[in-house]
Amino acid sequence: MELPPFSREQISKLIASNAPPSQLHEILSQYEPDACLMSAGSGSPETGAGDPELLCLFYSSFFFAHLLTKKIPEARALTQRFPETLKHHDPSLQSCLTLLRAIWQTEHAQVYRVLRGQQWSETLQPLIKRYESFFQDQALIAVSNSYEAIRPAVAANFLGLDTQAAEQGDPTIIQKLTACGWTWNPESQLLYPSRITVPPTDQQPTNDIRGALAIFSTPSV
Amino acid sequence: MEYPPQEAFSSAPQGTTASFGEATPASVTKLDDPPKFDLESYIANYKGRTRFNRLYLIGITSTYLSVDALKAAISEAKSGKDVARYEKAVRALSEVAPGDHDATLDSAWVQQVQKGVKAEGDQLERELRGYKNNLIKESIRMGNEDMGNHYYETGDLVAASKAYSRMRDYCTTPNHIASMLFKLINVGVERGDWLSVTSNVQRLRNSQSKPEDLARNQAKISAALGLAQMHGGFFRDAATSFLSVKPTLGDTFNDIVTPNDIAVYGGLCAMASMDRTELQTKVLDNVEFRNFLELEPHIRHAIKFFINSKFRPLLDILDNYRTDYLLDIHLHRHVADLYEKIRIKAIQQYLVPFSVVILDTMAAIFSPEVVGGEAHPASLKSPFVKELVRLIQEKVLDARLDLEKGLLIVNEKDTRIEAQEKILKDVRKFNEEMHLQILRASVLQAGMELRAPNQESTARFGHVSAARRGLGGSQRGGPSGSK
Amino acid sequence: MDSISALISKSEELRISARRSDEEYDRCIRDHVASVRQSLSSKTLDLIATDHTLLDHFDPATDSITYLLLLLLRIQTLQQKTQETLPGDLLPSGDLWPKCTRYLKTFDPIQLLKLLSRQDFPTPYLKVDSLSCADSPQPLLAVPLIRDAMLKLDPSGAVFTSMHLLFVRLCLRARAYSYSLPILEKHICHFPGPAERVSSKSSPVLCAEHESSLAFINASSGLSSPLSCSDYLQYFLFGGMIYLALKEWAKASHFLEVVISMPTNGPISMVMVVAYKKWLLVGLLEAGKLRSPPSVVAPHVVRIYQSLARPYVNFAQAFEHGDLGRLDAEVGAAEDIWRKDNNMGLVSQVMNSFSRHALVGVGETFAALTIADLIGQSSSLPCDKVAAESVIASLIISGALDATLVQTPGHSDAAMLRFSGMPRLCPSSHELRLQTMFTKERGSLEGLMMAARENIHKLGVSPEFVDHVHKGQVWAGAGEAHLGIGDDAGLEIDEDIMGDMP
Repeated sequence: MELPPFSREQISKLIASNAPPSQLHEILSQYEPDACLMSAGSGSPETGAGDPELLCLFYSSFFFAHLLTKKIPEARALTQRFPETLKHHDPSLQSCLTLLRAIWQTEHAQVYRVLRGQQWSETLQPLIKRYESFFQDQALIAVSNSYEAIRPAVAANFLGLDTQAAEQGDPTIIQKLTACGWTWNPESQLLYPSRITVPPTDQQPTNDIRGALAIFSTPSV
Repeated sequence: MEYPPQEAFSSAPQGTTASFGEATPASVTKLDDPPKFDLESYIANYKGRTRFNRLYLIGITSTYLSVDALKAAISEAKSGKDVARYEKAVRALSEVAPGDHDATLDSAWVQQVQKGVKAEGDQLERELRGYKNNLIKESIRMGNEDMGNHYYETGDLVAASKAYSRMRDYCTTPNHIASMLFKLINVGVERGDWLSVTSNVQRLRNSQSKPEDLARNQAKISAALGLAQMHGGFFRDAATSFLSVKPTLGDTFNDIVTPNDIAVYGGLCAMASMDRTELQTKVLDNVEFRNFLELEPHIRHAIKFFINSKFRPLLDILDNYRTDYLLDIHLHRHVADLYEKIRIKAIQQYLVPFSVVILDTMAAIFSPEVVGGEAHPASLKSPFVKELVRLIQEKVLDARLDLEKGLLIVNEKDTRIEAQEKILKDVRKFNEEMHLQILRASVLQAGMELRAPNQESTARFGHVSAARRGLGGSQRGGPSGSK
Repeated sequence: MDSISALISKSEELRISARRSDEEYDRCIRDHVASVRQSLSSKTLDLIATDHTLLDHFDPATDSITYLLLLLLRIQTLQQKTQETLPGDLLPSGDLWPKCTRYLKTFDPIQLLKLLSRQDFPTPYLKVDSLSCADSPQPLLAVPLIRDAMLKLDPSGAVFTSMHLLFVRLCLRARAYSYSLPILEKHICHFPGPAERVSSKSSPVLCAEHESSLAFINASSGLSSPLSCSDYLQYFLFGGMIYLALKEWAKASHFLEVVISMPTNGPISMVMVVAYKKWLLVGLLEAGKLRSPPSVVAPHVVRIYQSLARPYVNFAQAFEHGDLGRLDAEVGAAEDIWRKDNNMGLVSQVMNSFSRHALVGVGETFAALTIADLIGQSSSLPCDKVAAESVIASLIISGALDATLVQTPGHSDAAMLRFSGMPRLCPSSHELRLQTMFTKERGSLEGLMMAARENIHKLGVSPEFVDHVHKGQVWAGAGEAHLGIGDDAGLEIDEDIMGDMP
């Protein structure tokens, strides 16, 4: 498959598109040699000399494509492939590192904090939003299956909701959670999550885009 | 016939003069509870040296009976010729009742007996030498037997067993052999040399005795073997041996054990090692053993309770008799072990019909003292819960504790899924092993296996041999060599 | 210019001949190679070396052979001119780079294989790849190229070649782990066999559909340079390390097992010891205990491993014991060793998994208990209830622990931990998951069966193998003798190692 040349427009288009995560990952991975070549300094004749903005955009979107396909260890490997010169200066790439650490340590509050921070570039926003809702969904599934009874503040912390409001029994938060099938007991001030079963997905890495498409065409939650 | 390995007898004091049951006052745990038996009628069941040994053990163990038992032991010793044990008993009494008349050593008696013993010993030796010169087999045998008896009575057990062993070459009839072997067994029991007891039992079985003689001895043989197995910790074997003791035993073996002892030893070993069906068929339905059980009805009750899963009364009986058994010369070392085994079996048995058990109910049966106590029976602080935790961790119980609801949940798994998981695991393992094997075959086929440098030949197909290429080669001078 | 048009017409002839029978096509290729070589006389050489557009006259997909020959010639002249093995033009920024990548991306595997099967042809495939990529400052660039080329040449991936080692090394250097999976996930089962058999039997039908990649990858074809056991061991060690980086413990474990079960007639190699150390640590991560090595590893080899990896064995024993104090002491005492062996990361992963393994053990005893009780049971948890709860919560949420938490009203911190004892998924989806895995295992079983059949076939035709098996048995005997009074064969090798044993 011939891809359009590696350019800012092309990457932005991908970021804005609603392509399934595995497809996004696949396409971006095909651009990595171009990015690699460019970061080497001279760049290829078509793209000209290194374009830091394009590189940052590429690496951070590729990073999110990893997260969206739950390739966390490989995402870590990717952060080690970030071009040295940009790694320490670009706020987006810096945030990728912070985000990765938070995910690695299952620090939910920190994950939401980083995702909602201001340091991401505007072009990247669609992916950030996408990942935030993905992460939230994952957390919802995990909490539903991990807790039989949970205090609203703890649940809010996992789901990136306002913990203080939740502690005071803010009805909008409670309502949000009961909408997921959870039950609320006002006397005990506890939420009783109901289990969410996820259809098994083939977690094997696949190069077959169509196959990957078929798996992810149904929303996971 | 299975023989306990030698290690099982490691407690036997091989080659020392220390005799079995010679517990020192310091080494025993004192018991304050009065036993159920009456000392006088209890000891009247026995004869021979075991009387002293039993009295002495009771004397130094039971605070309740110590004076009576030790005084009886002293008079028992004084009626014999063993000075050492007289002195031992006096020493023990002087510790519990220093003012007692018997607590002072009767040195006149001691000297007199010692003199007599010496004279008698010399006399016997002279006689034996005479017999040997005359080369009359029967006289030599008897001379050795007399020597053995003399040593036995005076407490020199090692010399006694040597003297008895010397009879062997002069035995002319199977009866002689049997009598010699029983002498050796007696000494072996007193010395706690269970290996020798077992091997002499085996010799007795293989001896050429007439069938009727053998039948007569059978009861004693089984009893002695059971004793040895029990001391080796082989409770199931011991139970089988005791259960096969014929009622003809009567008082023929009461220089070692009485029929009452057979009932108790056999019953406890059986409960510790047999399941309910076996207890019914092999113990209660055993017509001959019933004779023994009638002597100790509480053992029969206990077995019945076990079979009927009435565990509280069972444990009550065991608790009530614990003191008695701790005062028994053969049982006292094994009471804890036997009781623990019976208790575990009872707990396992109790859980069989249930998938979930309420801890409170269970504790009322197995640990009633906990129920009224300070710690809640379903708390980790409760000794009963701690016991269950230990049993689960030791994989004795296949169950899990629910401390939230105070339950013991018997593990029940979804067998279908479990089976599938297992198959998947096996298939994976098989695939991996097959891959390893295929690779090994291919490595050999390509001639690429690691070789010692001196065997190194140019690898097949013109490949460069491994050992020359650094990293993969022989690692002389690697970390192994550098140390 | 004449020569160029001549080449073009020759290439066209070749293209036409491809439609004819295999034998004829084979002959045409031979003629073509000869004539191309001839036409590239010294006179045209200069032209090729300077004419950048020459290669553009050919399409690497349809004229793979011609293109490759010209490309190689070009590289050769450049090397002669610059006196460098890796001339600047070949680097990613160089002129030739796009031509090489274009070639690798589009070449026709049948044409190439055909060419490579000619024994007099030097390893061109290797040259292009390894020269332009392996030592380049951007190893990542080469990773997908080589991977796809390898898969194109041997879709079964069952035959080990020198490219495999080069490739995993490249992936490690580039820190591009997932990229390597399409190669790593193929079960390697064979090594390039002797060429005679291939040339006599399979070569005539080389262009046809191949039953087994063994038929065209052999010692003399250019697909692989000569192999040694060291290459093989390193490949599996590096592959194992890639899986470790991806936290695929089971697969890593299998790769390392291949290394530690390498057949040996006495000595063991450093690579094997390195693999053993890593394998031991993965075992702790995966199973929480010191596993016994595969049964094919001879007992004396296991003892050698254990004596050479003493701190690791001590560490594993402390871990198995569940004694956190001793474990900390063992970790601390051997810190230099972990660092020296580059195993610090793995060791800390093992330490992190300690509370997980301890909690799994608790789940075997309890169905439910309070966090407070749990702290008393497991020494690996923080003493503070809130902190302990959050440790447990993240273990459950990350799927490492099969249990649920039940919080209690208000701020009382008497949260309850409940071990379900049942799979968390509903039975039907659980079965569905198992089914997928079964299908996968069946696939790999089928592949392995085929490989096994091929092995049996090889056993049948190769007298050398019988020879080898025989020798192998003798060696096995000698190996055992080392433990006894000794046997002169190879005894001195082991002495150093054996002397270390306590």
